[in-house]
Order: sequence, then structure tokens, then C-alpha cells
Amino acid sequence: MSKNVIFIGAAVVLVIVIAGVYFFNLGSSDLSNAEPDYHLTATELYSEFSSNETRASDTYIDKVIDVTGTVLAKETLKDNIVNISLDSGNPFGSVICTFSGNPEDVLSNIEIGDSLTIRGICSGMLMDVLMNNCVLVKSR
Amino acid sequence: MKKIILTVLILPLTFMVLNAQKYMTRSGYIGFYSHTPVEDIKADNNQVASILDLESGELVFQVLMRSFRFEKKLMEEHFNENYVESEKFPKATFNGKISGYQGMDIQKNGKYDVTVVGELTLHGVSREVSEKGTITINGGKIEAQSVFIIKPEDYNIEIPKIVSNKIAREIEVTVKISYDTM
Repeated sequence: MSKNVIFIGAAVVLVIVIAGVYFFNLGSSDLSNAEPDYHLTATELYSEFSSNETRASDTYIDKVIDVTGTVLAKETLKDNIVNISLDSGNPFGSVICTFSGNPEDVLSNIEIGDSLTIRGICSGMLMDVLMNNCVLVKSR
Repeated sequence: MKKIILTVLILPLTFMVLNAQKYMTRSGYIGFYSHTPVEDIKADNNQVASILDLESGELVFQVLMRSFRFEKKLMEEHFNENYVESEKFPKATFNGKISGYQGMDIQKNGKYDVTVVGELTLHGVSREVSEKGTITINGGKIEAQSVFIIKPEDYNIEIPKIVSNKIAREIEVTVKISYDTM
């Protein structure tokens, strides 16, 4: 009798743990498998924000965007954060993509001048168009 | 035509000279921390834009609210949708200057305790603030740091009663900026 109870108890706990992990990860921000809402070049994206920030904000903020461009700069901050700037064709601003997670992976793959596609969520614009939760889609 | 070309070529040069004393960043850090017995909440923003004018002591910050990263995505959603309403108020800004500024020499290493005064705009509300911080000049680089308190209620940020025991009335804000030449 007691063995059955223990077994059932363990099974219940296991189900709860699995459900918990599932629901916790449901909110996970890994975009590797996400379907992008837009495909744009860095030049196009920056140009839309700089010409009409309100309209671009309505269109692109919180959306998953695949941005293609040339790497202008690469910056590793503390806390495992890497910022990659994509050339917007405009000297006053670029598209800055922030990667978290393991920066070494991102660093070893990316060099200034590389042409690549980055998937991220657009957060809006300050001096640059800012993207977060970024993952690398493909390198050319 | 020649005059136009000449002006276009010279203009960026004058721009560079005029701005010799301005330093900026596009990846400054601002984080905040809320502590209650029930829950600790932490968020980080590594996309802060800031300009420091070493000649005048003027200091400007621009922060995109949506760039605050939380550990729990649900918290991030609540933060944006319910608390700071980032769709209505996407940016927080600070415009101010170093109080009693006497000037700083970029060539001289030093650590300065400063008080920064100015207008902080958050959630559409602007308030005059005065906060302490340190500015460190080392090897031609400038770092600014500050830790201060913000009260959400000062900026009309409403915390629903249901979660009011999970979110502190006073939020600790940490600013850490490394500046480069413009």
C-alpha cells in the first residue's frame, strides 16, 4: 500500500516539475525557431525609423525582425552581453543588436565587415534602432 | 559649386573640433532592483544612450523602456504593458548637469564625487532630481557611476494592489556608463 502511495506521489511531483519547466520555458526568449514578422536590411529599417519614427514604432516595435547587414562594430560588455552594430548607411546611427547568453559563440563567428542576418525583437529607436534577444540566422 | 563642395568637406571637420569635449555611449548600463520579503526583481538595460560634455558638465541620458531585460518574461510584459506603459511612453530621459562644475581634464586621471541635477522624465512625468555619483577619468577614458532611489509613485506608475507586496515602493537604480569620444 505505502509503496503505491510513494510511487503515485513521485509521479505527481514529476508531472508538476515537467509542467513547471514547460510553462517557464513557454515564456523563453530564444528566437532561433521563431517565425520573423519582417525581413529587412539594416539600411531599410534605419531609414524607416529616421524618416517617420512614430509610424515605424507602430509597425516594428515588439515584432520579430530578420535584419540583414554588414557588421560595423562589435562590443562585448560585462555580464555576457554582446552588441553588434549593423551599417545603416547613415553615419549618425546604426542598427544595434544585443545578444545575451554565451558571447564567445557570437564573438567567434562574427567579424567587422561580415555580412549577416540577425533575428531579434525591435525595441525602438534612440540614436540607433535597437534590437534585443538577438540570435544569428545565417552568415554569408 | 566649388564653394558647396568645400563647405561640405569642411563642415564635418568643424563638427569634430567643436565636439572635442563631448563624450558619448550607446551601450550604457542602467539597472534597477526591487527588494521585498516576498520577491526580488532585477532588470538590466545595456542600450542606454548618453552624452557627457566635459567642457560644460552637461549630461544627457536616453533610455528605451523596452530595452530593460528581466529574468522572467512575464514580469517584463507586466512592466511594459501595465507599469511603465512603454507603448505610450517609450523613452525615459534625463537632461541635466554636474552641479558646481569646475571642469575636468581628460588627460589627468582622477576620481570625482559629483552631484548631478536636472530633469528626469519617466512615464510621461518630469521631475527635478539631484543625485550623487562618481566620475572617474583613467587613461583618457571616462566612467560615470551612480546608485539612487526612484519611487514609482512619483512618476504615476501604479502598482496594482495584488502585487503591491512583491514590488518595492523604493526602487534602487544603478547607472554605469563608459564614455568614448564622439
